Amino acid sequence: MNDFTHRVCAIDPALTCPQPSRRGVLMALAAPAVAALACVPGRAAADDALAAFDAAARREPWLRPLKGVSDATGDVHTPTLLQEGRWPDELRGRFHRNGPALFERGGRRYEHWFDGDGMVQQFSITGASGAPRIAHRGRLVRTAKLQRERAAGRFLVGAFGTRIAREAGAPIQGPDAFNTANTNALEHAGRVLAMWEGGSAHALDPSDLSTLGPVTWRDDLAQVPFSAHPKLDPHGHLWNIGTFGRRLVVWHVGPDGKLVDARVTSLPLPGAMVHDMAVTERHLVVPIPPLILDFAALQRGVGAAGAFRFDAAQPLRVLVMDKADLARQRIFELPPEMLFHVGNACECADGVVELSYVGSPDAGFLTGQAMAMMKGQTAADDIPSSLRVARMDLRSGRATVERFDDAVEFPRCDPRRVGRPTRWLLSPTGWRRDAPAGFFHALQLRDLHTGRTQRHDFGPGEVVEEHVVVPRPGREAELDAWLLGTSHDWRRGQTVLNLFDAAHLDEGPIARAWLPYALPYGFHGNFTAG
Amino acid sequence: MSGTVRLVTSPPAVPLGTLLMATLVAHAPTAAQASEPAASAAQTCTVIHIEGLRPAQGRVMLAVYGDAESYQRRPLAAFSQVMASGTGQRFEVCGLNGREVALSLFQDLNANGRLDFNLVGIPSEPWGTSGKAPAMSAPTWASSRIVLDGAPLRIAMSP
Repeated sequence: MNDFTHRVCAIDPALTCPQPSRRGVLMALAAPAVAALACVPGRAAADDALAAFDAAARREPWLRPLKGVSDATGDVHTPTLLQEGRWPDELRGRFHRNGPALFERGGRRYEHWFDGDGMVQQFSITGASGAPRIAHRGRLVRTAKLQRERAAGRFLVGAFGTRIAREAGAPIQGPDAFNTANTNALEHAGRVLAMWEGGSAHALDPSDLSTLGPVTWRDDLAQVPFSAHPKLDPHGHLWNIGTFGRRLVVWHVGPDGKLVDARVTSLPLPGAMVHDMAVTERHLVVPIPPLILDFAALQRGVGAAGAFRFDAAQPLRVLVMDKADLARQRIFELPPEMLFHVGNACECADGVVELSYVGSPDAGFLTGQAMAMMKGQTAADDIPSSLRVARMDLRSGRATVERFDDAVEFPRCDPRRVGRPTRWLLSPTGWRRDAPAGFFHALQLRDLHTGRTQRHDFGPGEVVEEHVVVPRPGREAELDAWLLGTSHDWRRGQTVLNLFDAAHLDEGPIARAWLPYALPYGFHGNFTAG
Repeated sequence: MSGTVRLVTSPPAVPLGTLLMATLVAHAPTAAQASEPAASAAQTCTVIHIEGLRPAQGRVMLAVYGDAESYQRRPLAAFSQVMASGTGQRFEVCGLNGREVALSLFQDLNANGRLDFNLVGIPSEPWGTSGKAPAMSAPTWASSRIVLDGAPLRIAMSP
């Protein structure tokens, strides 16, 4: 492990900055981003929520990434990260991640984790051979929302979980007025797409993460929701959905980044929150949890998070549609569960569509925990979500669900197997009682054939984020791959980039790269080789 | 600012199409009725400043409604104005002072005579309304109604 110390009071302008060590000053000189992130002059907390969070974050350092960045600290660049272990010669490319990052403005703190303005992180691994150069760049996405609020010095529009009183003035043109571009980042056809669930994707220049603007795939598609979990199939085609009231939009973008088509069909449960989807060779698989937006509550001014109702009397629906003909549909009804993320799907047997996903008994995280953590409140319960595999017979209409006893989220599969049979699923997990409650501290590969797992425990001092599977160039076997992702060492106050050999996850990381600061906790990302 | 249009209250000479959408509605006549009528000196007028328009693109379309029943159906008056190079337009609505009305506007960027919508029913052209526009739903008579009292009005178009 590396042993450098430096000034890492990082992204929390309200926290007291420790005096830097001599080595820390040198590090800061070498990496301007450190100086950019460190020690913005403090200001008095302007409301109780802000003060409560700051007090909690002083006591519980693992909360500090939830302080977020400011306009001044939201653009960072560290050209050379300190490495340990051996980064493979064949691993070259860019790893992009996205997540909510700017939570406070004008003395107001957002009340829900999902509210923050998006910041895209880029880890670029370059160099011909030998030890690579690993750089980090992070930039706030310049959405119209961010730019207007930055100019005004305060939040102007309501967020997912925070009500912001809107003043009289210009009406809202559409959902991009609220678009935070904060959920996922994927490089496709030469541009990085920063995605959010309810509006346009934003295009970023991969060379410097500058925002090119919202993507309008066709004139009549401006602001049509392009959700945050598109699936890139092994042929380079990008499939996605978007929901708007009673409508479900199906997007198909070719490998060249040009729109193939956008079609509209009906959403079987109008107003439902549909966060993720899967593809198979022939089908689109859209899970629809019984989490429904109460429009009347929304009109009364309740934030969206408070206007969602989880109806445990309704099933978890799975809409299976023929890619070639969206009218050819079948809806399966699974036991009632909340679902954010899928692992993968396939036509794994004749007439049977298999879908792996992470389910939880209710939407308590969305409507409770994701708000409590923004106040610095500790999670009361264990992580409630675990892995499932549904097998849905298109001929009989029957479905079975296999349940695994674990605590996971953010499932990922081998990208070469998107839409095809997958044996292994990767996800963060947790079980320790001495780790921060509600956060992951380990990484798990689940063998769906045997049910067995490989795990690496980072220990109670690190919070583990989503990791992705990166195939070794020229190899085919599913575990002929690396696992790449980030964790937050809250004792050092630093984010770390981790690399594992997928065949030996339990042996720990084969290489790491340390950022000289802590990043806000992110949601999702993707690696692009090259 | 450019293009002051004086308007006297009279029904539009062209039929109005009904524009339907899921969440946001603006409505205006399908053809221009811009005019420079000879408003009598006795008429009182209210000046309307429209802000946030896109310069030199299409036409500004405006309709004035008189009650809930006729809102978005039968305007008291309607007209349009070709956009000039600025981002503002100034209109005068005459003969309605003291009345409760609702104003509905859009900028017909492509000059096709109607407000365009995207695939899921969201307006793809700038729109505006009197009163306070709901955040993500169509304006209504209740949200739009105002009393014209001769004081100048400012209406901002959606960005």
